[in-house]
Amino acid sequence: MKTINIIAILVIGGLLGLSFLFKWGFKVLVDESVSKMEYCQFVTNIFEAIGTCAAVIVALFLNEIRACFRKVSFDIALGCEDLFEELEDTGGTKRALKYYNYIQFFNKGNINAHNCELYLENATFFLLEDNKNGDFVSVGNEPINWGYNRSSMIYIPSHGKKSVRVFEMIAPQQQSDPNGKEDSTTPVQYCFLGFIRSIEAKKGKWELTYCLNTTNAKPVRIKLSVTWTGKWEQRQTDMKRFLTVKIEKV
Amino acid sequence: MKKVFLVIHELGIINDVLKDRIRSLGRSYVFWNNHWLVETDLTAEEIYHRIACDIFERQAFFIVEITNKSREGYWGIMNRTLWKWLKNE
Repeated sequence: MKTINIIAILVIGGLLGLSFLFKWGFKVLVDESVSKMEYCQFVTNIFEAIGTCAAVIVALFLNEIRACFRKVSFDIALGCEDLFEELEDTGGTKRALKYYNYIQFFNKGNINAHNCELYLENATFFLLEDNKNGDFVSVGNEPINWGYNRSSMIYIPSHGKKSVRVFEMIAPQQQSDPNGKEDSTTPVQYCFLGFIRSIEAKKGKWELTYCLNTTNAKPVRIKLSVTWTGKWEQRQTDMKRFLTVKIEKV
Repeated sequence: MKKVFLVIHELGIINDVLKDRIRSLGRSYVFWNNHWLVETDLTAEEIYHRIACDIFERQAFFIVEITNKSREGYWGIMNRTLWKWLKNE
């Protein structure tokens, strides 16, 4: 934007200078009237000067001017406003094994986004009653694997999109040994993108900040908020009242 | 005769194509996102070639046959549905 402003000021200043010269300069300098041919030549010279000036500006600021028209721009959204559910059928009754959601990155720009890497920058947990003082969780500094291949870098084509599963909430599970003894129930667990292992889910709100870096665009930061009231329900239609997932650009 | 294999792939690959290929081998059960139990009459090498062709050629897989007998071949504390699957219930 600064470059555009500089260019605009130069062009406007140049035109103003020429118009002053044309209106006032010739009245001072030229007492005699000019012929039609001289007048046309003079006007042509003005256009030549403007064209030369513009060519110099474009040559100096070519990349900046190009960046104004050819750029990457992301629309980021959750895969679903509510939740996806993975079901199991136990004797005719369906119940959720897990709830999850995706982040979708849509490149609405007119060039491909190259070498896209996703990082988890920070993660904070807030108890529902206390929305101000959160527990910060240390996170690793490694790029996240998108799930397509071993590399953590992908490209997102122009008007194309890539998705990554950002969060899972895993149902409590009844565990035992093969004979059915040593019976226990695991607690509800979260599995967040960027966390090494799953963690026990507690009543409260998680806020995670992710950063999408590309080599040909500015970094994009996204805040994911997951709030749970502590109650587990077997189906998404019931669970969505107690578990909310939101996303916003930071 | 059908045997039970444990198929483990890299945790970073969460891909629907891979999941469908493993499920197409036969009756299957998945736990911890990347550990699969598969019942099939193929060999371990044949299983590998079926699931790792094309886009997964360079990914790491480990495929091992497990004995389908409790106490001798497997034990532990896991989800009850896993034990039911192994007993083919």
